[in-house]
Amino acid sequence: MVFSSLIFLFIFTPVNILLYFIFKNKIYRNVVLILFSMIFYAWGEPIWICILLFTATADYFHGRMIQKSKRMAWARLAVFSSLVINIGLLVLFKYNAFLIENINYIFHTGFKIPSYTFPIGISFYTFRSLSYIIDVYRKEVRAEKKYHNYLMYLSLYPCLVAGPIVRYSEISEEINSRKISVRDISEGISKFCIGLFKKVFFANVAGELAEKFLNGDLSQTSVAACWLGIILFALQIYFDFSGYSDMAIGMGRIFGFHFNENFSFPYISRSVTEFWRRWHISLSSWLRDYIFIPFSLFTAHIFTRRKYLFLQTKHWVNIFSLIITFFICGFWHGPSWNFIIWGLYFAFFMILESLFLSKFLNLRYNFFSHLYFIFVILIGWAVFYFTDISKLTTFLYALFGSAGNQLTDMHTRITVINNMYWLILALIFCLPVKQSILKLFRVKTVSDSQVFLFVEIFANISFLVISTSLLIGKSYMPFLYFQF
Amino acid sequence: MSIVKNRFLLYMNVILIALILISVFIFSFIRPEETVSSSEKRKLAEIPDISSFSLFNSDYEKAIEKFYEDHFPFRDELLKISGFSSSIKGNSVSEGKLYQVGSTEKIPEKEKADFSEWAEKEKISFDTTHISYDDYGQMVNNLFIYNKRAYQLFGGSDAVAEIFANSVNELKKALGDSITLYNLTIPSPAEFYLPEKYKSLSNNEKHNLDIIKNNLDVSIINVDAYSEISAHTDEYLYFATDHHWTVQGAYYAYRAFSKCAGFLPLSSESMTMVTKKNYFGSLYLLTLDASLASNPDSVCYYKIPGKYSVYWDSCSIPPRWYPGMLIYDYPGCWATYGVFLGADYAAMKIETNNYNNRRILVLKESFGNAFVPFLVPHYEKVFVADIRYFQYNLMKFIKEYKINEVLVVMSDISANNTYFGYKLRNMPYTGYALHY
Repeated sequence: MVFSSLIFLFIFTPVNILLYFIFKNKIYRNVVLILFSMIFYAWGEPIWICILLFTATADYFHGRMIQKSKRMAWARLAVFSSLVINIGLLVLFKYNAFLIENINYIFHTGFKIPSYTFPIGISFYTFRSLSYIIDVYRKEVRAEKKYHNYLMYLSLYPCLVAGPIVRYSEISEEINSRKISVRDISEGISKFCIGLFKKVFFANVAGELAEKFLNGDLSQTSVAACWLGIILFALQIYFDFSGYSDMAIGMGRIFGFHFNENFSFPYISRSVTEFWRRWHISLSSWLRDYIFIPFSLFTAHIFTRRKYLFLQTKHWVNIFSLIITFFICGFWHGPSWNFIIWGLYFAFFMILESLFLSKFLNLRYNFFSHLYFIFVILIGWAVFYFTDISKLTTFLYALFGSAGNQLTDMHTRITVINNMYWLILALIFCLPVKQSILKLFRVKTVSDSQVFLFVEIFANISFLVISTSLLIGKSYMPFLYFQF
Repeated sequence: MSIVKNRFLLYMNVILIALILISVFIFSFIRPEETVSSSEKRKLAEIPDISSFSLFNSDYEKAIEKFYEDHFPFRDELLKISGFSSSIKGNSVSEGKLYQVGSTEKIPEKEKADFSEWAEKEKISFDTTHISYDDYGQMVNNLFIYNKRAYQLFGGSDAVAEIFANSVNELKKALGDSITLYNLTIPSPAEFYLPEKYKSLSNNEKHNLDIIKNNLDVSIINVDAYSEISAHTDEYLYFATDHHWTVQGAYYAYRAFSKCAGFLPLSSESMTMVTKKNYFGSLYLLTLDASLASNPDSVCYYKIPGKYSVYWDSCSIPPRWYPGMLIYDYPGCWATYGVFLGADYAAMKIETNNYNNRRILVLKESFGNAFVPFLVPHYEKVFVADIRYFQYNLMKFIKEYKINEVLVVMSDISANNTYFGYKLRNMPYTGYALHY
């Protein structure tokens, strides 16, 4: 099931919320959440519930084992076992085709690629489960005593299939007791409505438009069409992801959970480093805490000298840690070489920035840093979009006019004119306009001001009605040869 | 006091949204059961059978979602809001408006594997789930509306035109020398009416038709409908809101065909024309564009002289030949392109009292519907097979009814859809017999 479906909005959610708020008993409420999370997840390919349950059960026991073990060896064994199971599941379901294709290519073997699809959300919930195990091992959090609470944490449907990667440590207290105020529910609803609007009004529209420019004969696509196509994809992926995160955070808030913000207007960044502090924050912080920092500490122990080849050891540690971290980041996004290249592409720029570029980029009123960032991110999205490397190459040639393609074309011009108000609104929504207005009027949050609340109520209703109408619009399918 | 007012507004936010959700939830279950959409002119989805539920796929769940979408409360009103939201995204007057609409027909499941295999052999790469798209050109994916007229932008290419011509050549090989094969490919209105400024949006169809003509075998008679149509573009030859041609467009193609087929065409003055107004065609239905809504079409048809009996069949074994109509019109019937032949039947038979031993089979898609009635005064029997739905083995059908002429008639847009080429070359070798 997805948040932006009519059946979720108007059947699943009302029943869920009604049953959740009927009784105040915390165990009852957790059971309701588990039940609805299972229905939510099973509304696709029900068989994959078994993988989710297996992961939850295995890591519940791993956590208990780490908590209770008096000897470090047993705790390490539990961590190792959890790593093997979680990474093993990812390899088995998500990366199997990639591995087999590459083994066949390198060793000229003929292994068959399995035809089963991978369980939706597996990348998210395995990372969440791993974060729990590592946090328990590090003694940053106590292992959950009750199985049903851990199952609820892992299967919590707001963040199950598309994040945010909520850590157990962030909501451990709320799992056992939650206080829900009318402000929580109101702000949750507002967050959900704007997320829905972002997804349906911006992301879906941007996706349809982008597809037309990026899926055709790329060698014939004009330069303007290429740039427009990649800008549209950049809008699509941002609004899709951040919209979904907003809906997840909003739903969580309604149930009393306070998830951290996952996107903080990433397109206003002035560097790639800043971008990764604003984009998919739950993933970047996960990678920082569980890959980058441990690897940095490990690498720092290996390098014994203060300087190697004109660079200080700390720079080399940073370089290797960034490469490994972004290799994993890229690979996490998809089982294809272009995603790995995408990750390493960002590693390259982050290395440059850490070595010398950031001093220039962080200068005040440096407009060129925004230009630099926009350029880098758009090329990055092109690498992300094209899983076929030859198509990517053709596109990059066309993007810079090196394919003998024309500068602009009528189709691109008309598309921009037909969608110009939408484009302007989309660009505005990429900026922290609301936050700037609140700051201007010295209002802390919308809920603290009657005027802003009034506007927000009107906006929420508009977002909901427009989004619902657009979802209905997608199901519009006239019979062209009507005979009755 | 302001804290109290704030709390009141917080409650209002919650209550109003909850009211909307609850109202829709309640209306989802209590509104009257509808089986047909009057605005979309189609049957609405039905509740799926529980037997289609599977642990390994989401077909059942998708069918439930489709059912709910089709039966959503206030669906028609929400469609209007959706149309309005889409229309205010930008300026669609000064430079026209481009629409991207998906395919309305899909390749049948049972043919997908074979079609993919053939496409791979022909080195075509395309999305096999849509009947109207391939990497060599987009067919129906782009519509352009300018000055109250809708245009399908032609995306055909030399490569696909050659594939089509080769398919017709293969068909000729199967038919043999004893059967005369004609090919009539119809240009679309973008070729004649798209302003010069926007010509680059649509590929050149004259060039594409020439490629087809130059690649056809010499034994195939290619009908030059383009020249006849282009000489009369000031007349009402194509609908503004529908992707089809009008009866006048079909008439000029009929005149072009008569020169190749060796008979004298009836003059348009000798036939009575009936006009039915207020037709909002397929391209309006697909886009719900406001400018098209203000420019409805008229559907005209000629009353074909002579005595004839019309039958249709859905390729049953043996053929049942139910009574049909050449022109499907009755008092109170609204204007529709379906007035021609009534529908895209899999097979049709028209028997006349012209005992001239000429029996023609028309292999067509929907463009052929407006054309077929003109053949009736000139043939003893006219058979019609819709390439998409015809299930009989073509050679057995031809033998059964002693057909001695075959005409392939379709739009250039369809000819550049590789699926039609695929079907044409397979028709002599696939399909079932007419009798057990």
